[in-house]
Amino acid sequence: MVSVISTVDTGHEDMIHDAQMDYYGCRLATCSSDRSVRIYDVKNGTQTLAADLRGHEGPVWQIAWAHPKFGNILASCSYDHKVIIWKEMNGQWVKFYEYANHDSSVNSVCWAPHDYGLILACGSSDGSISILSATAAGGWEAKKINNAHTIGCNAVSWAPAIGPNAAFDSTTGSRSAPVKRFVSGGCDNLVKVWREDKEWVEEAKLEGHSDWVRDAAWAPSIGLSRTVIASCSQDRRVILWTNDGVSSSWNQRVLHTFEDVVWHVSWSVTGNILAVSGGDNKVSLWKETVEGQWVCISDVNRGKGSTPGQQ
Amino acid sequence: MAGPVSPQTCKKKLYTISWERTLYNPFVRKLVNESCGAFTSLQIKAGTDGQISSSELIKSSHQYRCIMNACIEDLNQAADLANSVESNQALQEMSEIFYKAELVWNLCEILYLENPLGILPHLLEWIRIHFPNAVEETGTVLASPNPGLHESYWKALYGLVFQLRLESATKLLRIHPDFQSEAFQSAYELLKKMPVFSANSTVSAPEFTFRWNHWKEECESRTQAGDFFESKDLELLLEILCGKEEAFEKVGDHFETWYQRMITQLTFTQPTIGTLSLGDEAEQFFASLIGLDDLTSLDATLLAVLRRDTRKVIGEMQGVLDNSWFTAHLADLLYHAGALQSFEDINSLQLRETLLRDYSICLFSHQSLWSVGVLYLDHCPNVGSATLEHLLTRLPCQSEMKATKIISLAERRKLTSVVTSVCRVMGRRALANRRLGAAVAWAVKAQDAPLATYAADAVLKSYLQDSDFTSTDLLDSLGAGLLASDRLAFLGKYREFHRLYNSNDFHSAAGLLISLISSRIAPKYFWTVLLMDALPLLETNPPVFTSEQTYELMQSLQELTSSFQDDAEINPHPNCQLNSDKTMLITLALSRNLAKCFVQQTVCD
Amino acid sequence: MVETVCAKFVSKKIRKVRWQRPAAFGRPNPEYFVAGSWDDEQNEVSLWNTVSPDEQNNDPIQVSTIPVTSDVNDISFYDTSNFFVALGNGTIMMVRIDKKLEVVHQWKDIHHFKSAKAPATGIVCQSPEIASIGEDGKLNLMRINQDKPYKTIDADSCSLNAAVFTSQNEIFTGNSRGMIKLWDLRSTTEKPVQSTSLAEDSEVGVSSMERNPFQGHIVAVGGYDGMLTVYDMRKAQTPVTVMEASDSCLNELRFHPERADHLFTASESGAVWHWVPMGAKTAVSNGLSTNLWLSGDLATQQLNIREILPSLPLAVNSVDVCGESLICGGDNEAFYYVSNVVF
Repeated sequence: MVSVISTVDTGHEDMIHDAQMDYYGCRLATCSSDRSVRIYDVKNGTQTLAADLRGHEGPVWQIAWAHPKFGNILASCSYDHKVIIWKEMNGQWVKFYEYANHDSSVNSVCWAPHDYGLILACGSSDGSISILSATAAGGWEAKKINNAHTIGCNAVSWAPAIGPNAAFDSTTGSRSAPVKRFVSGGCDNLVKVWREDKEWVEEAKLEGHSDWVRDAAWAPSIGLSRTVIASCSQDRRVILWTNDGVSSSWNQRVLHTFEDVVWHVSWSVTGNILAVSGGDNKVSLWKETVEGQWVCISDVNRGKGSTPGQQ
Repeated sequence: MAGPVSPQTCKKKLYTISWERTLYNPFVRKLVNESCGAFTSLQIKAGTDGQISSSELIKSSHQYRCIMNACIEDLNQAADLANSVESNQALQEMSEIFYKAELVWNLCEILYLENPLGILPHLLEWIRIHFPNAVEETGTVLASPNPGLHESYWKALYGLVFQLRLESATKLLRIHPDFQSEAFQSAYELLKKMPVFSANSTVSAPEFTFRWNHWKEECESRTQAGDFFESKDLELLLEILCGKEEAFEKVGDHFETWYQRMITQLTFTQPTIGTLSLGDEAEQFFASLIGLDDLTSLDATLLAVLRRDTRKVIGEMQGVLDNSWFTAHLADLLYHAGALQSFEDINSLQLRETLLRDYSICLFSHQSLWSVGVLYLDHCPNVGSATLEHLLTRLPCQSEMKATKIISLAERRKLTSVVTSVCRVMGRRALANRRLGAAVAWAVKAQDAPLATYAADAVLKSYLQDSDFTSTDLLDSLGAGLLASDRLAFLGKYREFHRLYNSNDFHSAAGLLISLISSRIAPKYFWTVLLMDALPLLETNPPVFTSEQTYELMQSLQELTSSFQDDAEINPHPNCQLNSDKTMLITLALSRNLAKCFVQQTVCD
Repeated sequence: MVETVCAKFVSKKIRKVRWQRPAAFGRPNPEYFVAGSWDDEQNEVSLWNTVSPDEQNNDPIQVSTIPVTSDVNDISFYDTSNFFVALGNGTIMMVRIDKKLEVVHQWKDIHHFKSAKAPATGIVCQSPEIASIGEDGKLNLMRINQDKPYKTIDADSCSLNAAVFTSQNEIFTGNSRGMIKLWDLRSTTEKPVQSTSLAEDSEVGVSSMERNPFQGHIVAVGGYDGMLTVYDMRKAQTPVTVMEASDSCLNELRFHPERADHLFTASESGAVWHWVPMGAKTAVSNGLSTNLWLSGDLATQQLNIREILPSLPLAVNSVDVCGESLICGGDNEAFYYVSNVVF
């Protein structure tokens, strides 16, 4: 049974747009319309404010933690057209890099799997997606996909580095270098899969939503050949896109049609649970049953075992 | 599995949510750990081919139930000692959960593992264990000053008869003040000679049925003859013995649950009922007694067990219990018994794997219980190792000891990516703590060249700062580890240069210095330092640098002065900066050395 | 009396168990032990009684407990009633057993990195000397009744994992990369007297160390790879005897305090072994010349290995033995009390 184990009073002065736990679940970062990013230490169910990062000049939409092997690094994006990469150095959080090469609000940031190095994808309302990579010399290098989504890009999410079947092939030693991929969603109602092939190319265009795509999330790989992407939209639906790892086609399936606009989708670490949040201020958790059905596990009526969709 | 959520109605607050907290209760943790031992030993017994005898499985099942019962006892004890109403209630609720779990488990054990020909004696035994009230009631009656006239006398007696505790029942009958009456004597005799169908009797079912019918006829004929006319209570007893529906209606409130009543009624109506007809019988009984509209999850589960619908049992139990402990362990046991039937396109192995994995993931969200979780993923052949890979790398390491444990777990399971990831993070941690030697050691273990380079640079920097090396104990024992990165290799060689120089082996020192520059293994930012190191060697007479070597040094000096340093730092250490004074000094020393070389060569010629 | 095992699940991972040595002579078997937990939100040091009043039930009973904010990494008795605890936050605690547990002194944060606390990994006593080691590579020397360590040696660039007094003035330390160093505490320099590597050409970390109670020059060292290496401190550069004690990390090794030719080991793979000497009596009568532990390759032929417990599913972190009583515990959140150990 789901229970609230603690409440965090963040101290933000305006609406909170994103909250992210770090890799180990030891730190929590939040961002808000009050232009700040806050970091909390989480221990034994209590949170203490560790840092209040100021630097953006508009609402901060999203934040993302980098893998701890790079140190403590956090990326944030804002309405002010900027992406800021923050780094903790000698106990102090400092601005590590600022990227201001978008012409409109930056809506989404996502770090690539750590195996590729320190790489950040950013999606903007100007319709483009930037890929920032840290260079060996300590600088940053940017690549840009222009017109990725007409009117605007709302979400970016990387594919796991371990390709399909890698868990079985790794012993043979004949493993080719993994291909970098990510998914994006935009105001053109489309979900797109991008692949790096020297340059970034559009590998698949997934048509299914009938309104703006608000978020897209690539599921972690757990050694099966199947790969899954979840997307959500203003059309109140969450769609699960699956690829069998062999063919290039994506199979779509509507997880559920909600009462209101769906803002975010997020996978658990092992990809067995999908969290969905919507305009009705509700969060629901979904899990695939052994038979391959997706059921809501967060507010199941225990007595009858039915899903909220049927009520 | 905690995750933050931010409903916009409470704009500034976040909620941390979690589920399956039951497993984290200190008493339930004992069950988690103890059952893990039972689980692993069952897997070892089953071996890789999964062949295991049913008696071994029953033994395991008993073990699990023992653990559950100990947990229930612990929880009840704790509830009694609880100092607040809420915590008492919470503990009682948990105890209830495991009571239900044990009840269902026991029934599964009978139907799936023991699977006897005569099922009813086993079911009655199950009722006897879970409903000890008849025996308790008898105890109360016997303890009273005048048991025979106690208000609960008959209730106690019927209770004993319901559970076929005939010996106790006859004893209780004997203490009634009217025992000497004919009616009592007659009832006593009938009770005494009631044929009982027992699990290990040698009597065959038809043979038993013959005897039982004969006995029943006698009961009925004596009743009709008015033997018990003087006592309503005895009359009711006889109606019960004859399995009369009306009789059970009258004593309906003696039963706490429908299944208790059903099994009692079957004992007096169809004692030899077979397993196959049990499901239908139960469903009809339930429908007429309670009505299918009032079906609780527990009822549905029990009905499913009686119908041997494994899939439904597991599905329903997920609803009844707030944890995946039960379904994971039961499914595993049933899998080994071959009773985890396949349905649609999911085979039993997959079902077991999913349930084990869910349980394991739940354990991984706990600070300490993650260790137990690892062992369950070992028995998930398809997704276990990939899941473990995700989960292990996300365990925070508060100490090297924990890191070492995780590495050892990962190495035994050949999860090299976990080993590398943990080493890298530990290396990063060491760097942040300014433990350069430890950082180098972790980088070497991770075979992470960039990290090794970074750490080696840090060592070189601290050398420039303090004119002395840190972590020499480590650097001088790295051996092949130095090959982890070129920079580290350079650092090792540079240490060797100092050692040779200090032991006055100038020729070897000079040779090494040249090779460090000419092989380009030395980072350019350090060339100035190397050239300055060469100064005292250039002043020796006879010269230690040959003319070729001197040319080499000249060339590198020229390269340094003319070219742009591509790996230049923004604020290089003064020792790394090549100013005009240093250039002059080196140029002069080089030309003097060259002159000495020519002189020496001429002399030799 | 039959050897009996009693398992007790305590809902905390056990890191260390230590018997309180009986104060009075003529009482061979101890009554109390202390245990320390690790890897939990709230850890603790607890005191247990193994002698129940009714004699029927030999289930150990918890007598007293003190919460600690960090992992307990080591416990070491100073005398019969005082012991030290090394904590993951770099603090060393002195605890007294006086019916219950009572913290009498703390050396706070004596192991630390540049700007963070470093785990203290070990504590050893050789009255009046007390020495602690840590992940910061430091060796702290302390005395009772002194507020601060009187000497700190920057002993290693890696984590120190184990230490043992080999004489009143000498300490043997082992690090996470298998470097073993001998320190003279009187020395004014920060250089070890000796420095060597546990395994010739591989980096196998040291996990545990123990000195033979009767022959102080014999030191047994356990490695990450499960090998048991015996050193003769009179020529400590090279090991004398090397034996395989487990296929995974040898978490602890303990000589029996009186029967010093008996050794007990606990391993990461969940095994607890009793190393029983064959014909122990002859070895004793022959004296030092044919010491069992220094007989090189012959040692394995002179020792029988007995499993004290059927292998546990998770690591056993600690074992201690006193008289005929043994206690061990580990990551399956349980300890095992074995009474009437057969020798």
